[in-house]
Amino acid sequence: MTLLLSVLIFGIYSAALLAIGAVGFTLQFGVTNVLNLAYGSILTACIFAEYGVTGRSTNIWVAMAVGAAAGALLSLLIGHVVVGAFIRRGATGFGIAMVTIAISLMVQFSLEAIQGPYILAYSASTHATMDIGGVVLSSGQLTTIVVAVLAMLAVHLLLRATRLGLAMRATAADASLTRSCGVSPARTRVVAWLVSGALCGLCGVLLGLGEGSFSATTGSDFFITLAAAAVLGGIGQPYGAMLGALIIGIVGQAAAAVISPSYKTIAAWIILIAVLLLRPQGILAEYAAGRELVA
Amino acid sequence: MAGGAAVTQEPGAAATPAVAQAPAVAQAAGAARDPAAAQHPARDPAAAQHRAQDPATAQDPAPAQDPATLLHVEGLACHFGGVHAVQDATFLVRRGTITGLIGPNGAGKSTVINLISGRTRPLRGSVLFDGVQIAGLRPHEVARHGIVRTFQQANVFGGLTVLENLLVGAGPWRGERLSAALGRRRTWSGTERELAERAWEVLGRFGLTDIANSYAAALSGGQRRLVELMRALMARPKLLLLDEPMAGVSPPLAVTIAQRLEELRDTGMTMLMVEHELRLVERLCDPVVVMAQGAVLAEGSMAELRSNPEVIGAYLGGGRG
Amino acid sequence: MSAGLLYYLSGLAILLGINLIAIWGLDLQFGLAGINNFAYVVFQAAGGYAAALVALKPARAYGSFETYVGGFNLPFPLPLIAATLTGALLAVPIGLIAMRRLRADYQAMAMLVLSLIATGVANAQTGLVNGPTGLALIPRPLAGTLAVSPLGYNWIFLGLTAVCCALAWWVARGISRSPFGRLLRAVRESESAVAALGRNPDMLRMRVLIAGGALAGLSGGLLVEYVTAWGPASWLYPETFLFFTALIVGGKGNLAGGALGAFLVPIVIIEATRHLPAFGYPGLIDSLDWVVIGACLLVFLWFRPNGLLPERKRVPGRPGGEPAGPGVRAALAGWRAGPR
Repeated sequence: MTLLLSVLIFGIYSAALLAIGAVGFTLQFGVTNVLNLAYGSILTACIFAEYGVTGRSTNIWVAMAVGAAAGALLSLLIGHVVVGAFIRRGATGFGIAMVTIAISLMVQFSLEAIQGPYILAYSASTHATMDIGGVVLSSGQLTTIVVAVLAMLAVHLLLRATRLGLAMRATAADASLTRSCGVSPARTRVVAWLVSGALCGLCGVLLGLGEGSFSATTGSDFFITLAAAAVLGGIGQPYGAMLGALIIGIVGQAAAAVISPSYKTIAAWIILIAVLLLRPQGILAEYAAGRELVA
Repeated sequence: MAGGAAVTQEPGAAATPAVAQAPAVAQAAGAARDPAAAQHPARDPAAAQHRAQDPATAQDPAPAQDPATLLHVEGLACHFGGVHAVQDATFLVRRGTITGLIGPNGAGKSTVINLISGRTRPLRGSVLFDGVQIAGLRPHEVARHGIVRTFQQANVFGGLTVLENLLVGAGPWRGERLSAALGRRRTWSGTERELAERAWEVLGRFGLTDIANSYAAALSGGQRRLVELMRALMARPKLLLLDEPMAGVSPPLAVTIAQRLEELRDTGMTMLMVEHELRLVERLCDPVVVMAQGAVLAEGSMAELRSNPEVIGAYLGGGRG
Repeated sequence: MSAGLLYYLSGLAILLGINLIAIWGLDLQFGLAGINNFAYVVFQAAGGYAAALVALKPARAYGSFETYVGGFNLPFPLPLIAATLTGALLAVPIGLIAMRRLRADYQAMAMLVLSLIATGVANAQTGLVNGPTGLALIPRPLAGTLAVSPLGYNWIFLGLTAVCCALAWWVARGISRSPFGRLLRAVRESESAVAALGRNPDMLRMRVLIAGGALAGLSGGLLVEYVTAWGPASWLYPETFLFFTALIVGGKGNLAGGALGAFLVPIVIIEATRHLPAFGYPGLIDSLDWVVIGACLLVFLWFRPNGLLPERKRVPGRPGGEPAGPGVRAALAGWRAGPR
């Protein structure tokens, strides 16, 4: 029974962490139509940036603020400036994927160069813990869950209750149409890069703090898992990403418990391949209905 | 590869007995080229009138076996995301004709072309081509039965030269297999030379030999359309499906294309053409099928259709020719 | 020249040859047919493992300090043949995934994930290929039977590599100049038009995946037999992009371009930087190498996406083609094309 409860609770923690990153990824894809394969390296860069600012011992709230800010800036630079330049030149689909790969290589290995032979870890401190029916959660993990819920609420409010959110939803639905309604797609895209970057950075620092230590490759592996959540739920659809994150989080924990810990990520990746093969538009296929995800 | 219904005869087939050739193909190909077929009583004015007034009787089972009928579409339907793009398409295409397919925007004309060519799966209905059921087949399978289509936006191979485009058009043949690529060059170089000669001949007929070695992507839109048409001809199709061949084309070029199509019809080729420019339809097409809202409204010559009140109401909007 | 320098240069030449085979294989898939095979390194890895598992004795014979399947201890050239066949066969399941008509960037991501899954499984299932530690002590071809110095053996291995390179060149050139190759390029440009002309684009892509996969497998087999060790760390997903960068820098769709890229990227960037006066900590230069590769990729994607030696225009009477000339950028920017 405790196994089931443990899978459920840690599954929710995993889901919370994934949701923050997956929503950022899917929101940006929805508005800009760019599959940003450099997202994982931005995630890692934010952990590094935060560590560089605060060092080994860090306050979780400061960390989140620094991470979100770093993420927003980096995402804007990579997405709007660099990738945007290629798009304005006429690159599409695969070309953009290669560009984002090139950027991710540069970022990831620069971080590796900076890291050097050092092990980067946060100093262990006695956290408060909470015991739920035999399953122990640290305060950091609880905070992550709370922050995730707040972030989801914030995204929900942004999309449903603000003009900006409306513009983003409209641009995701049909970019050319929004132009004729007086909405500037370029400005909407900038906002999308900023918001998704902030979520990316937030997710990154929470991941780093949760793991206790990190390296230059932390983000790239995690990125595929959160991409799996986004694609499973329905790419381009923030609510889909939340749903996908929940499913992947729990299934991943179950796989880790039943098969072996390394299968936590492998299970998520297999789900991603299965979705791409069988139903690429994901569960909530709203976004994909009007787009050609299947060529 | 050289199956019972190859898209093209293996060039130089007469000289290469080793090439298997199903007799039916030779017969059908011969029939399509036979000028007598063009003068076939395909256009019985009385029957056409009858059909134009009462579309329901077009589902007479006899046309399926009628040797004059090359394509018989019946009850074809499909839908996209809840919307019935085509509800019930039923019409004939007789050999040696350029049959027009017209109708207002959203009538489902291009969708019908996609359904016939296999690009879209039909929900129900039948497509009998030369007596063979081809509904639901995939595009390359449909093409192998002898149907070649062009696309609304000229779909050429941009990174290949015009000559290469035409060479690819010549249809599946043995020399293009992987095994041939790894084997001795001599097994396919002879046929390749013959295909090239044919390609030059087609280029000459169209007066476009000077662009033979240009990349297709570097050509103008009108030239690309011509390349697509020439490439389709290389396949020696029994039926040519043309999806708005004149769309966005300059008037003098449209006249050129129209002339080429007339020449093709005179050699016995059958065509089904979707087109908006009614003057061209009038010049080239007989009979003409009118669609509206996913169904066939009427069938007949332009003169008959112009006096058909239903057609006027749905499309011609007040008697203008 | 000292024996040490000759030894080093011959080893470099061997690596160049191995990379040539791999890059020409990718050129068939990506340059010619436009398949975004971001899982290419897995083909090379599979070939490497096949050669290793065929050449090694069963695990017990080494005292079971490694655990792996197979171990047939077969002599040269069987491991290399096994490597080539494995690479070719792997194309079938991967091809079935690649043939799903996804948007180009989606498909690229799917292939990338496949590469990651392969690495993950190799690491997790330790009984398969000895997990993260990898396989070691892989026997070299004819090593026991030839009584030569290490330098002498290098020359022999170089000769073997050269023969395999010639084979790869013959295959790639044959395909590139054939009607099959023309059809592959047509699929790259517009698969809907290819289907409308009676060919099945999926089968065509499968065939070129098999051909390219065979070359990748061969290169993996040679590599494994030369370095005598093989583990997941040797074939992480960025290695695929090393090959892609070589093609994009040197020129895809062009064998000479691929060769130039094979020289410039894996050899010049990786090897040359190894000889810079060591600065920083050990491993810093390796990381910076990859930053340089990423930067090269970006720069070339912007300025010369067709590479230093772009695909040549095929004209009648000139089997080697002629320089692409005006219109090349529009025509050959295949990296921005997707199937229609």
